[in-house]
Amino acid sequence: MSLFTENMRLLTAVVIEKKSDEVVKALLSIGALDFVQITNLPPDQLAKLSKKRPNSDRLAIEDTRRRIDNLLRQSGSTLPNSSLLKVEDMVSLDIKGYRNILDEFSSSISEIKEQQKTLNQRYEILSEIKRYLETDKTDFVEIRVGNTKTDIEKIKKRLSDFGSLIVKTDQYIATLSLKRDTANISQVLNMVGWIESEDSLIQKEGTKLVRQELNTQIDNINKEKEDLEFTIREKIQEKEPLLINIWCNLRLHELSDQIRSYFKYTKNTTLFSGWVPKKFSDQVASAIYQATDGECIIDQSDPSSNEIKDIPVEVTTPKFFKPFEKMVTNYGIPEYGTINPTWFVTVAYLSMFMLMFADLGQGFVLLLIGLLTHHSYKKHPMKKDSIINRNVSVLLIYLGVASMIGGVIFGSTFGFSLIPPLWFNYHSVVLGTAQLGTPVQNVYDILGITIIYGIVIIFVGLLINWVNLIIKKDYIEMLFARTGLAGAMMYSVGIYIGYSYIMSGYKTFPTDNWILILLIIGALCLLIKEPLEYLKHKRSGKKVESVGAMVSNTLMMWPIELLETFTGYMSNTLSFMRVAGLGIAHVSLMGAFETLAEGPGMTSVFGILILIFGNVLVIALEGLSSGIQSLRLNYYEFFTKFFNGKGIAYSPVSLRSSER
Amino acid sequence: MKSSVNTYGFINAKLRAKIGDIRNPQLQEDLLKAGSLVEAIGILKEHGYESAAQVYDKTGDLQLVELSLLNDEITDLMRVSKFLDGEPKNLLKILLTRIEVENVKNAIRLWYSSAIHHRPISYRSAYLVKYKIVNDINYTSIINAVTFDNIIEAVGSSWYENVLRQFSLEEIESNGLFELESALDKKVIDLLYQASNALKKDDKNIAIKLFKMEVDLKNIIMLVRYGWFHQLESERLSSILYPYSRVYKDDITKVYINSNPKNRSVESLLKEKYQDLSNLVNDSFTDNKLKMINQVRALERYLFTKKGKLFENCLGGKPFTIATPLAYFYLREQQYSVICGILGGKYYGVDSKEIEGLIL
Repeated sequence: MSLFTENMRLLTAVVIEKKSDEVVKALLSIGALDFVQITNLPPDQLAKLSKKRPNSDRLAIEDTRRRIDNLLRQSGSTLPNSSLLKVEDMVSLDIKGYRNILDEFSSSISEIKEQQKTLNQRYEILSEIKRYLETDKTDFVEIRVGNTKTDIEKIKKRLSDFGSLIVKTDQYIATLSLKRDTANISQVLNMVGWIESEDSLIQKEGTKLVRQELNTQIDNINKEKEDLEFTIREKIQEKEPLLINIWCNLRLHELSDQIRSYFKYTKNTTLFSGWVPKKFSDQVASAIYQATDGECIIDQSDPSSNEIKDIPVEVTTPKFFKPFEKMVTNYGIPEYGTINPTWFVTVAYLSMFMLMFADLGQGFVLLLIGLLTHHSYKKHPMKKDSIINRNVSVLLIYLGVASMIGGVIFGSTFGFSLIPPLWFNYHSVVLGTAQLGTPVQNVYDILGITIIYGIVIIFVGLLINWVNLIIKKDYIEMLFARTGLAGAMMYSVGIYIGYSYIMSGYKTFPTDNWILILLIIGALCLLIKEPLEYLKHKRSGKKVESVGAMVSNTLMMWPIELLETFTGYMSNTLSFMRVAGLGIAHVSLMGAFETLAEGPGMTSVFGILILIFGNVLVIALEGLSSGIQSLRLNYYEFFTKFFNGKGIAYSPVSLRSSER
Repeated sequence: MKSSVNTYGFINAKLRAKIGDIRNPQLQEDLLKAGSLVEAIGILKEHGYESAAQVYDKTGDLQLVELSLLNDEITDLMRVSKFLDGEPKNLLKILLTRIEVENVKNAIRLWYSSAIHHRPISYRSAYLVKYKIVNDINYTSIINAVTFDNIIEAVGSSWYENVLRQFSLEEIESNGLFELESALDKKVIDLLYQASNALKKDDKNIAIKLFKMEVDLKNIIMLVRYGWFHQLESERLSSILYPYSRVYKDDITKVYINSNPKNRSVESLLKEKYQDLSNLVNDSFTDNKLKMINQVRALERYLFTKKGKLFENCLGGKPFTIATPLAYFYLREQQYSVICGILGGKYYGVDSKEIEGLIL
């Protein structure tokens, strides 16, 4: 992992037009070029270039591809994704043909669905009758037992509209139907010469038989329904390889069209340009060269300083750091050429969490949850994100380990001091039972430690800022800004004042003369920053506001800057007391549960249950709270010192480009 | 007494986030692009309607999918109303009653079909909501009723009883259900007006404004649909109109109602106060039923769009009022009908463009 964002090069190529398709494939295979529209040419030259219409309708491609997704979703199949794409598999596009395949396939599924629907409607009638029989609503149901000489199939056909159930034995015929259909059913039965049985034994037997038949038919329908569901799934799975092939081809054409949309054409040549990380630039150039059999001109150039704003930023981090890279990119993209903050965020975030949630046992639980959820997502790639999503599951693994390390340092296991601490016993300090002579005696000492920790984090942020400003050659900002040396000097003076005040037993502030002198110098630095920027811009020929506007701006902004410097740094530093606060709350909560568990009348089983409940609650609430607070401290106290998030993300057209 | 911030602060923030989701046109666009109902169901799965999609997987029955969507809607709206209390809650309850009334009407229609026309309703009762929405109603007893009195017993001691008692079996046998259904609809409008009127000042202003607009729209639709297209005689037409609205009290409306059903002029009905609407209809088409239907539909579409806009405007007003819950109820209902409309279109193989034109 580079400490800085990746170096980029601008690659511009002119290739022979007839070889442009091969070039597209080569560029897609490598997937490293973040294309730019060619516009930076003199108007007369630009006018000579044309833009070809794409070979296919991209919307139609995307719609057809999504139709495949929707069909596959019906079988619960894994949806195809970019990992299946191979440029060499790309064949010519036949949208109409694909649509026909999908239409035919859809319609064959619809036919089965119609069968399913008819079956289900039969199920609904029978289950309604069953429900009435089971809930003593027999008034709504009618059972008739009798006989007729008419063929049973004819009767069944005539009664089919009413959802009646008919059973025939050698002695009698029994019907089961809804009473609301009595009038109609009686009419049909009269027509077929129905003679009602008056034998109570036969009536009883018929009733029993028809009820059994009802259950059998419902079971059979359920089985048939399941079979149909299975048939649909099987049908889709049978077609799955073909559908996935079509999907891949559509996706490859979609990406190729996306690349072509950046191409400009003359009569015989094709032009394109894009940013590529320096480490891949030769590979891209060589692929273009090979694809065109050398019939090309390739120019690679390093960015000039005035291009820096528009250069896409590639931040390379190993897999290990991915959750923390996500934290950085959620906030913003670093500027080109500046320090990649992922390293620092990783250390800061984990150390903050460790200080707030230090427990060997609870950390192990977090680690376990992280490992299990991560494994589950890996095993079921299509699984929807739950409350612990993919990113959080990986993060939990790191947080679990950090918490365990914290537990070893402070000697805490599931809220008990079961192991000797490497540094000091957090529980004893918070509960006021720390042994004399130990380095940390009370909660004030813990608060002090976190303040020092905060000062270190803030200074690291300032240092990163200065390195970034030196790289950008922005010396005025570095020397005179609130986050530059002037601000840092005022902050250092503030720290000294605070330190002296504490050392005097919270009685007096230091009165050294140099304090005032340094503060005045700092304040003047903030004052002259704006005029210096003005002069710099004026000298470089940039458009500037009038002198009057500059002066009034300066005078208006200065008090605000001063106020923000004093209050901002102070609140940023004190904000780190939350690290101690959360840590103390963690110990106190566990202590409370411990006391409850050992309370009078508590059996050992009940006590253990209370401790388990306490641990679960603390893991869920404190764990979440510590995670959020760590993020907050990074975003507001750390990032604001150096990170403006003005960068543009590097987004090459590749096989892995987002599908949505 | 709770302040408006206390009353609406939490629920409105919650609903505004949900409204953002509902307003996202992606689902509608995706559904319209689906090549078939099977594919459309796949889209529902993707957009968080898993339960409805599962119903289709298990049954293949679109009407059961619609019922599942309705169940989701009812559960959601019930959950929203639980966050409020007092008069605002009562108003939302009446809005839920509108869904209940539709369900009661469907149950009575099934009974009518079975008991009066002796047509088997077989599996169709499966498409009814059977649980309590607002009032204790025994839907099973309604569909299995032998006499009209059984239906009156099935609605318990709710307000439905008084409305149903105005009718007799003989009247229903000879005139059908139209009057009974109109009476139920009118009663809900009464309840809605009373509930809106009982709100505090700011809420009342909003609710009454929306109420009047909605009643006006419904009356215009009825005047055109039943007065012009179905040419209902004056007395019947007058009896189905909802009071409280500008259209109802208007003299032009009275002239329209009292004129010969064959010579009613929609253009003159709308010309003075609804110029934009009068442009959508042309009286000279009265001999061509298809053209008339298209005009009625165009008019209805226009009025629903207008209603939608008014609800949208309400969202831009004061943040801690009943406007947000009301808009949410409206949008949720609209979303349900749009989804059902598209799914229905897909089932019958209607072209996407045509479906788009048909869904309100």
